[in-house]
Amino acid sequence: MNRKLSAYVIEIGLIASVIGTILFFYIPILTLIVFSFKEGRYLTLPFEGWTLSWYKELFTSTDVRDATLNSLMIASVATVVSTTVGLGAAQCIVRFKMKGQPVFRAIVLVPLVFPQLLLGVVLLLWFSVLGNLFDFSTGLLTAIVGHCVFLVPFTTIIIGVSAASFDPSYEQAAQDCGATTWEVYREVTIPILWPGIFSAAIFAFLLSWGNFYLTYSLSGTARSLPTFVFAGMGQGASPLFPAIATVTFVLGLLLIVLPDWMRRRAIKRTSAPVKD
Amino acid sequence: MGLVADNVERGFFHRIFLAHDPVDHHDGADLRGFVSADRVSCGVWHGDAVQTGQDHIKILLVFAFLTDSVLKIFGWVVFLDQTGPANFILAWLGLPALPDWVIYSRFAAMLGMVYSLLPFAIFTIFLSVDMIDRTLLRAAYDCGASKWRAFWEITLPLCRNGLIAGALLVFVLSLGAFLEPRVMGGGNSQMAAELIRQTFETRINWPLGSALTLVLLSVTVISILLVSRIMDLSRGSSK
Repeated sequence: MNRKLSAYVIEIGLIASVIGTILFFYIPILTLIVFSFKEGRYLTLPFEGWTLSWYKELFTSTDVRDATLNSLMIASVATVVSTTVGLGAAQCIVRFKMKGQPVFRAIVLVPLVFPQLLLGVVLLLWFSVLGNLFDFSTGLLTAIVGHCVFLVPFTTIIIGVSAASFDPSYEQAAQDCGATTWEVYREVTIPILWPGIFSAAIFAFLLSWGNFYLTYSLSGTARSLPTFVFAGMGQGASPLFPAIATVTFVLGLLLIVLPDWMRRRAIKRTSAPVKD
Repeated sequence: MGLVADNVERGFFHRIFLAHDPVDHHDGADLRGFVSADRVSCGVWHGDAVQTGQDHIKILLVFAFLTDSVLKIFGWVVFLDQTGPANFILAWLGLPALPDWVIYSRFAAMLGMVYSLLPFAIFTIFLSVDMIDRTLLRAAYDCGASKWRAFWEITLPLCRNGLIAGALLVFVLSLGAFLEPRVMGGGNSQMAAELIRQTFETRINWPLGSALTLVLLSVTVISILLVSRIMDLSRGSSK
């Protein structure tokens, strides 16, 4: 009896800790969502009323539009480049047995623990030296380069994980049937690695979209959404910023949940005939 | 070094995307009955209740982790502000208001860093707990161990490396924190990364900045080497 009771208490404690953790994670997110509907200029309680006017302002403000376009530009280019490079690097790590492979692996993984702010500062030094030599200043392009440097280790690892469970005999079979190297890649390798590539791309996009440190150091006068919010936080922020946040949250959630839901449906569809 | 990298690599990055890994869901169905029958008593990872619940929790955590960090920190500032929801809820419950030191202080900076870095620890530890052979726990229960005892003698020792790797990862990442001390700390709890940025950008003293960067990186590398040494040694002695 006593034992059952203690097991019960432990169970309750575990469930409570899950709920506590989730609450802890969602406190700021929920706060912002609620405040985005607030009437009045300041982010303080009590509420004077509910309104959607901040969303209207969000869609009409040119500052927000520019920042969003910049964010979108940086994130999409950085995603495409870093996923492509990551695919190549993952193939190298997993497939080819070469000399110095542990060193290559370490070099690919080390940037994960390198402080982002310092990465930004160091890249800024490089760009200012190169900028003096070749006469350019920091802007969107340098921010994109910085994001790619930051994202490649992530995409490499995520694609590498799915490449590690890849059976090379499929490729050999295709080669035996007379496919050229390029055909093997297009018809066999890429389709099989596709889930990994897709995950890596979504991961890269979200990390780049929300990245503050690198854009802050490298984008010059161009503002992305995080730096725009950072600049606006200091000066008596209005509910415009929570409204930006809410839209970002909804889009991010869709990006994470939709692929999962699509995959579940695909699995259901493909596995249904087998069950019958 | 290799072990830490392995743990970080598989623990953190593999597990984050297990929710997106088709292979996992195929055997997920078989695992489901197994896990719920077993109810592993591990206090470290909370997601072991039911497999489907686990998936939802994973997605919730991944989402909270991947959203814009500036916005999340901003959310904390709004929440903890003197006239913000935290005090409002406390007043509504009839409790005294939050003391001054809750926001724009060293405590707030630490709260923000715990918030930002907790997912790294959770994902790393989750892997090491998840890799434990559940039949070991079953055996312990059959031999009459209580849940607490099974946790203490089986789960905890077996996820030791995961705990160490998680702690190391959080430590290393916290060395580079800048946003949390700056925004939530209210500028009066400057940290190394902020100092280095200022040295480079506002004081324009590149040699000093480089030296400071090198010191910070040495701390990182030395702590990684030290910890991986501890982990390797413990593995050797247990054999």
